[in-house]
This record gives sequence, structure tokens and C-alpha cells, in this order.
Amino acid sequence: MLSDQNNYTAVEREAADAHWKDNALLVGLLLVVWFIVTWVASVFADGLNRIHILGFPLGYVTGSMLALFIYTIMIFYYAYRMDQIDEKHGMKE
Amino acid sequence: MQNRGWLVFTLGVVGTLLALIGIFTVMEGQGLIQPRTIGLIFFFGTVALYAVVGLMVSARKVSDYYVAGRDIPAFYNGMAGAANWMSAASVIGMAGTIYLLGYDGLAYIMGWTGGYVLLALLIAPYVRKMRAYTVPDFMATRYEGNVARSVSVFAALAMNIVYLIPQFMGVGMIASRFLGLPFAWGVFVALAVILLTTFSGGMRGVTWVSVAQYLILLVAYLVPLVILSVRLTGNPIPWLAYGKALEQIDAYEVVHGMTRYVQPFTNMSRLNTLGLIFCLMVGTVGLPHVLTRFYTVKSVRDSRISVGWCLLFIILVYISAPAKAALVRNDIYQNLVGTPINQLPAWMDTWGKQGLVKVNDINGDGVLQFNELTLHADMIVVGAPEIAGMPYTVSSLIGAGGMAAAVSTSLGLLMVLAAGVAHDIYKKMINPNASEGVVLFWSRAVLVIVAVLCALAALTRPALIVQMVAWAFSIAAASFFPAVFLGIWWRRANAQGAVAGMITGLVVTIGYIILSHFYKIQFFGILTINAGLFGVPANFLVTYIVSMLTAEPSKEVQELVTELRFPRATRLIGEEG
Repeated sequence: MLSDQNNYTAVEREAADAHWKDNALLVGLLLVVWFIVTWVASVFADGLNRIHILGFPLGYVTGSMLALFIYTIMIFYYAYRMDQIDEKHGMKE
Repeated sequence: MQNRGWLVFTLGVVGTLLALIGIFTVMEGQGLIQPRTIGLIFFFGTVALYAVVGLMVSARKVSDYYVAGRDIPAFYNGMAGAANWMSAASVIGMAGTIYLLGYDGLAYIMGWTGGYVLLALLIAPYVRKMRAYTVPDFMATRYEGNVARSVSVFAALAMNIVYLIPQFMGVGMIASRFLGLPFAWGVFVALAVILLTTFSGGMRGVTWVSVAQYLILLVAYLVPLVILSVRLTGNPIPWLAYGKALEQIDAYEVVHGMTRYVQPFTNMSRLNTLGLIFCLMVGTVGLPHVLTRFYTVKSVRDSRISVGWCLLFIILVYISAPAKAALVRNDIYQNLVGTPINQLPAWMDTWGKQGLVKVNDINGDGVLQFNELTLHADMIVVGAPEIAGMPYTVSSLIGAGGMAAAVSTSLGLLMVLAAGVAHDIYKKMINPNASEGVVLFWSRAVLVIVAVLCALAALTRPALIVQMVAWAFSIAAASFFPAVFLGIWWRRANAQGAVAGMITGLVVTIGYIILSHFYKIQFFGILTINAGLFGVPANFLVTYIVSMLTAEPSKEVQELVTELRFPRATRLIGEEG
């Protein structure tokens, strides 16, 4: 499938490794946030429900709204940071 | 210029729809139009819109047919993806499920959105980088050859059929309700509508039609919710207003010693609730028609943003479902419970005739209690306008929205299926010299045959809509996710491992579905909807063991995996690190 791409850019292995390391670090960090928002918040939902915000029990509203906002923000943040990482290592498309 | 065309189209669809709602509401109030006529206009009007748009945007090349020439702006690609993603289960079934299950029902909300994080971070940019047309193409490239390709086409076929049948059931129910036909005729109307829209445009046509369908389902979902919120709480912003409703629900339940709505793990065990979140998330990543959506963008960069837009458009509906559920539940506590049985509102009678509302005066005091009332999950969304005394225009609008969701999901699924058989099996394996015309012919023939078979299966109503959709997610999770994930992130994964893993995942998952649903045999109390809890780990384990026991993949494939890491075509120079 890659055969139709003839315009390869030569990239130093060192720069490529640095790019990949930044990428993997960012992905790892975001996955930790994803894990906390989804699994930790669900397991402790009962306790979180004792806290109320605007009438919403916190555990409930995390599952019904907050987690969804955080997921979306995370994806846009990832796209934004990856642009910066690509540029930093000369990998911009 | 191109963006402007999309914008005009978007504003045009929303503007027309809002204007129609206004005009019909006024006319209905004045008695100038029969409610039945409004239902017919919404039904046939939206179908005509899909058909016209599909015909206007026709496929000229094979690449147009499958991936729309990769020139769809990320924003609209996200919108189309959201429509393909949200099916009858999301739009019609979800709010009702939350109404019944309380906190445990939120597993659907989190599961069907959190998977996009995995998709965005771990899969989409890399899959786009590979420039495959379809998921089986990805498998064939990464796992070197036609065995991986055929197995993944077969898995896609199994998953698609399980997913398509409930869509036909959904459209069939809506069609029979609006057109006053028996259910079976409704299913055939659904078949005709779906074939009409897929037949012309291929992926490009599907994208325009899907954008229209997203807009229709969004308006259909939000208009009744805002009216409901104003009538019940006086606040036009339902997402803020339902906090108050939750408070009142909780207070009511504590006073009456009932199971609390906001309390977790009361209707499903903790294992099943968390397990459902897991299966739906991982299944999201494995859905072939969702993956294909991210091949249709210009660049790796666009694929990253596309996932974000797609999720944003999805959560507009998803954060609204719990709001709708809470408002309806509170309304029933505050206004309906305590009504004398002989003075119940008219909607309960209408829905009762369809078997979706049941009243049973258990203590025989002639007054309705909450535990004497049974509402079917699928009637909450469709029935909410009547429960809150809204005009029939709003009910017909919801019908049009539910149909938009079911039809657009079916379109996405059928496209992937047709592409899988015609492109992956026929063109790549049977007749590599086939002309584009012949391949298009085959893809359309397959599409018709599968659609007809699914419609026939839908007539028998094999299981509940939400149940069948959850099965499809478990099958997708257990067959595709490990092969795609490991293919990108683990260089050592090889063809033998992936093929053995996919087959194991499929057999285990489908096996557990059959055992638990038809023979009522459960292991560890795991529900049939969570069959993927067995299939996914089994697939990972088998892929790992078989890969390690057999030779590592060829040098070219290992280089390809490295190459995938970088957005631009790259050749590494210098010493190996």
C-alpha cells in the first residue's frame, strides 16, 4: 500500500526515535487520564455521589457528562500536540 | 470553495427542518393539517432527500466508491462518522435504557464514547498512514497475504449481519408506525429506502447523505428535549436543568424506600457494568465501518482531528440521553404516580395497545404506584413528547430522526460489506484483472443480497435491538481489535498469530452468545451482551503465543510497522538504534 508513495524523506534515525518517544509519552499520559476518568471514577462512583454540584451527584454526572467532555478535549489536545511534535522533529506532512 | 458547499448544505438542511417544525406546529394547532399527514411528510420527505442527494453525488471511480477520493473536510467527515456510528440503539433505545437502569445504564454512554479515545490515540492515524482501502486490506498488508484477508472479511461479514438485523427492525417499527402498515411491510419499506440510498453514490454519496442524516437526528433529538425541559423545569438548558430533577428523584426514592436511581451497580453487577463499558469501547475500535471513515481523510493530521469532530458530534446526543431519562423519570414520580387508575392520560392507552406500557394495580387501591407501571425501554424517546403533552409534529420528527440513525448506520455497514467482498475477495483474490465496472457490479450485487437476507432475518425478531447491537460490538472487539492494535504497536505479531487469534476470538464470542442467550448457560454471571469479555483476552493470548512460536514477520513488514509511526513518507538513515 505504501508503494504509491515515491517521495520519501530521509530522516535521521535519532530524530525519528525522538519523535516516537515524544509520541509514546503523550499517548501514555492521555491513557492514564482515560483510565482514571473511566474506570477509577466508575468503581468509586458511590463515594463520589456524596458530593453534589448544581444538584448533580458527582459520580453520576461523571458518567453522564464529565467523562464525555474530557474524552473529547483529550482527542483534540492530542491532535494539537502531535502537530507540534511533528513540527519539532521535522516530520510535518 | 469546497468547504462552502458543505456549509450551505448544512445550514439548508437545519433551516428547512426548523421551518417545517414551526409551520406544522402552527397548522396542527389551528387544525389545518391531519397529524397523520405530518408523519407521512416527515417520513417521505427525508427519504426523498437522501435519495436525491445520493443520486446527485455519484461515484465516478472505484476510489470514489470506497474512500471518496480522500477529499472530505475533517469537520464534515466527523459529522458523517457520527451519523454512521449512532444507530437505532443510540437514538431510540439508549435514553429508555438509562431510564430503566439508572446509573448502570450509563455504561452505554461511557462505553460508546470512551472507545474513541483508544481509536484516536492508538489506531486511526496509523491506519490512515497505511493507505489501505478497507480493514481487510490493512490485514492483508500487515499480515502478508490472503489468509488474513479472507478471515477478516468473514469476521466483518458476521459482525455486520448481526448489526444490520436490528437496524432493519428499528426502521421497520418506525415505518409501520408512520405508515400504518404491519411490521413485515415496514421492514420491506426499510429495505427499499436503504437500497435506494446506497445504490448511487458510493462512499462520497454516503458521506453527503450521512451529514444530512446527522443533522436530522440531532434536531429530532434536541427539539423535544428542550421543550420537555422548559415545561418541566422552566429552564431551557436541559443539561443543567436535570441536576434538579436528579435531586428530586433521589429525595422521592429515599422517602419511599426504593432502589436509588443514581446509585451504581444496583441493576447490573459491578462486573457486568464495567465489563459492558469495556466491550463497547474495544468494539468501537474494531468496527470496520468506523475505521473506514478515517481512511477517507486527506492526511494523517486530518485523521487525528476527524476523530475529535466525530466524538464531539456524538456527545451532543449522548449527554442529552441521560437528561431526557431523568426528566421523564421525575415527571412520572411527580405527576403520574398517585393518579387514580381510571383517570390515566390518553397516551398510556395508545401505547398500552402496542404492549409497550403496562399498568397492574398490584395493591388494588385504584391509584397508580411506580412499581405498578411498566414502560418499555424503546418507548421512552418516542413517547416522551406525548408524555409531556407536545404536538404530534414533535413525535413525527423523532420518528424521522430514529430512521435517519438506523438508515445511515445500515449504509455505512453495507458499504463496508460490499467493499469487503467485491474489492477484497473478488478483485484481490479471484480476478485481479477485473475492470472497475465489474468490481462495482459485484459490490452492488453483494449489497442487495445481504440487505435482503438481513431484512428476512429481521422479520423473525431474533432478540432485542440493544442486545443484538451489543453482540455486534463484542464480535468486533474480539475479532478485529487485537489484530489491528498489535499490528500497529507490536512488530513481532505475525500472520499465523493474527489469523489464529481472530478465529479464536470469533469462535469464543459467538460460542458464548449462543450458550448464554439460547441455552441460558452463564460463566461467572457474565451477561450475554458481554460475550467479548471472553473473546478479547482469548484473541490476545492466542495471537501472542502463536506469534512467538512461529517465525517473525518479514523484513519488509517490520519496516512497514516502523514507517507507520511517522506521518510523512520516511526512510530512516544512520545507525540502527
